Amino acid sequence: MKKSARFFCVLVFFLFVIWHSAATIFTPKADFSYYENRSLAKFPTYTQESFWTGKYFSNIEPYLQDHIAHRTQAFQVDTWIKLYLLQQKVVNQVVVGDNLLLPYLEYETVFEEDIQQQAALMAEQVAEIAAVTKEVGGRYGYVFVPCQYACHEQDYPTYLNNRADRTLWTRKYFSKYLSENNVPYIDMGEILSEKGCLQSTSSTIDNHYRLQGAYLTYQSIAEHLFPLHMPQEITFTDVKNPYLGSRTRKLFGIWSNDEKLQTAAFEKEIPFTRMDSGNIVPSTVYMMPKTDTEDVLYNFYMGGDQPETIISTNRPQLPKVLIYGDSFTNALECLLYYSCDELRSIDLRYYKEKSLVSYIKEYQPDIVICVRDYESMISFDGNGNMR
Amino acid sequence: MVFSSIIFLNYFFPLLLFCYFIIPKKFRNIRNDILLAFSLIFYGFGGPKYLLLMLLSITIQYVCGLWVHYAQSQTMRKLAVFVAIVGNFALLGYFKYMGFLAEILCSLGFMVPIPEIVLPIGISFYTFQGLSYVIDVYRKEAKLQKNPFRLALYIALFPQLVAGPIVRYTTVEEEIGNRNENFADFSDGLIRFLFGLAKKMLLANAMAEVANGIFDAPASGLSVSLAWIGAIAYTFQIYFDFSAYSDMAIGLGRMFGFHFLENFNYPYISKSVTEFWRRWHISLSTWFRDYVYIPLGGNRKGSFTHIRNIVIVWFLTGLWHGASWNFILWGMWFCILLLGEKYIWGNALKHCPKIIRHGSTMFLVIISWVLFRCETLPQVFAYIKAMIGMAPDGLWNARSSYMLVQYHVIFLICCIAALPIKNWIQDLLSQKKEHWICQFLLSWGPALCAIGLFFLSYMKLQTGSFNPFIYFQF
Repeated sequence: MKKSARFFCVLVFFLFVIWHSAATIFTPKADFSYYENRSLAKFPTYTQESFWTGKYFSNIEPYLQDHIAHRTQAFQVDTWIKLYLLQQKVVNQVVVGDNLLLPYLEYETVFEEDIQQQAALMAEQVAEIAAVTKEVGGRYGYVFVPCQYACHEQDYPTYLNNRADRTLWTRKYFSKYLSENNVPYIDMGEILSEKGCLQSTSSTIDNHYRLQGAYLTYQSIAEHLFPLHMPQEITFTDVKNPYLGSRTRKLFGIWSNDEKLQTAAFEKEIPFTRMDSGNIVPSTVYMMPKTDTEDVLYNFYMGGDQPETIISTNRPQLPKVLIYGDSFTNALECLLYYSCDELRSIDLRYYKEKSLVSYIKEYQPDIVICVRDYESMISFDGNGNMR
Repeated sequence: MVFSSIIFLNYFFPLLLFCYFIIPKKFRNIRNDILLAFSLIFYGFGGPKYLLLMLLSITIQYVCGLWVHYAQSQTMRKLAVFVAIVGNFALLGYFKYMGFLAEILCSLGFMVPIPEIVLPIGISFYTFQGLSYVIDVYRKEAKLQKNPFRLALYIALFPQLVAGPIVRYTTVEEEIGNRNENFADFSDGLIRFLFGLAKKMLLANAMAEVANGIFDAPASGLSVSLAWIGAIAYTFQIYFDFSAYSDMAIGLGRMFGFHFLENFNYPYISKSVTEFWRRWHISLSTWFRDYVYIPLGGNRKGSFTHIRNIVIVWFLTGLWHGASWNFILWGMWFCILLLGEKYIWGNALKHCPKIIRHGSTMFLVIISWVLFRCETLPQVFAYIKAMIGMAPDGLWNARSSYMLVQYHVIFLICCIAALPIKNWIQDLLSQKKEHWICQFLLSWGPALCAIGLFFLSYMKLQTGSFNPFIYFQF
């Protein structure tokens, strides 16, 4: 090896390391990683014990890893290599298809009896909530919506898990037990399939349905569960900003797509006030970005998951509606308030003030709607913890 | 501290080089003291309380070394070695084997509490190194080191401190007091280090994803093909992980003027298990050869003694790797294979075509890594059962397809990297060095490759999670 080559190697290595070390020290530190959607590690706190056991030192490395300079760019290059050079099918837990990004689902062994048993228990719980609603003079309805992987079961490569069996059994048994318990429900997967728009209403880059899907859900609620005052005319408009779905976010924004979020305008504007967790907030259901170029996320609808939101339209002739469920409720709420005197939304993952039963008893709504997706609807976690 | 970490690469390493090389060569002792201080800091990062243990180990070697040297009678010299052996193995025994012993006693019906003892990093390595010093002084193969700081530097020298290679005192004896750091060695060392870093970050960690995904999943999901994919992935992982550490250690040593012996020599091209052990973890096998096998009589006292010696050595080799039946089984597996090659099928094997010799060796080695990787004996049996055709999920399942579709490129790169491709290319280029491209590649190739791989490895460091070396647990 030539001396010049040796010199080049040593020089490049040390210049890079020293420059990068300095950049890491002097770059302002962020608390949150936007693409990874998580808080970044904090510098470890010194204690005598952590010092002697070495825990203090071992916690410095995760801190440095989280705050190293040009971290996001490194992730982008790494993702690009996996996507385009190594041509990996699953990148950062995302299954990469043709114009479609799906979640990677771990391999699992599911047993029909287990699902049947859990569906029966969940249906019992839902029936109790329906009974409480009835006690206070209201009506209850359950809406199950297909999450992205359920809309695109056929788009998974055959060697990857698409949870088809789990989804099939969950829907079958949960429907059965809700019927046996006399709980009114609609299965949006069935309705959307009948209309031939199961896939087109689902996002290609996010777990949720598009606003059109939320609108069809809204229509179906009015058609099959409760008669609602519905808008005669509705206009959907694309939001110009690039949409960063949860899947494109996991790919650090380097996967290009042209999907857009939308807003809906009714034939006449309905004035309303809005409170989030007891605080008055601007009267809007869309979190409009400040510029035309910044990315918009799914939290564009309702500002994302909130523990409690109250939208009052001051139209006493219309019903008081309580809706609860996971983030699928957000886009639906952007439309549903049109039909309500007051729309209350609670997300039991974050709302901890009182139980759902107490809430219903105190609030005495005319209508209670639960919206959960196929993935979570028989799970007792989060919004499944209804008692 | 780990070589493949930001704190090492970005802060510890540049700072050490600065502090070390700013001192003129003639102040050898100051340079040594700086290296010792940084080595202790390096080790202290894993928990300063374990430094005390290492200092105790150093004290034992130092005192016993003096005792051996100055003892008047042969009996006293032997006693000194005996004390060193007992002292070292008492430390190793307490920290590494006490819990295992208690488990065995419990399983035999003795109700003894199972102590929860944290294994200090690198204890198996520095204990063996220190012991080799005392024994070499006793055998008069090494001179007494009167300067305790120099002995401490030998034992605590950070490149090989926590995961080897096990550097014998005689290898670095001269260089501790008188070595010649130069730019050629420095740059060669750096290039070696960068290649090692790339092996770890780009190959070993990728293979770990595959192997962990398969070995850690329930056995009910195993198909025959999946079990093989997992075993092959682990075979690559352990090689690239451990040899990467050795490359980095040898490279770092070279930068500071030390010349450690090679620890790996393309073990996966071996055509027999005997050859495999001449190419794999050379420093450990030679340690056992020189300090256990030969003193026991080697192969000079008849077949029975020979077989007994091999059984002892491989039982100890298994036990050295970890306090668990798996490792003992692993050691005994190799014991049987080596004895078989020596006494039963060795001659027949020599007459087989190369491909069969290589294939059968790799088959046996892959099986050995399954014993090594599984955490319990029932898992070993379930896994091996799956590999030999009795898998719960048939011959081929969806996960096998996924693993191959997802990782085929990395598997291919690993296959290539496990071969002495580098040597072949170098030979080829040397033969045609009159051509300017060959000349350019010979002159610049290693440096450019090292830098390119460094950028890729560094990117993985920025994006990956903390990933310690497998051999840290020993």
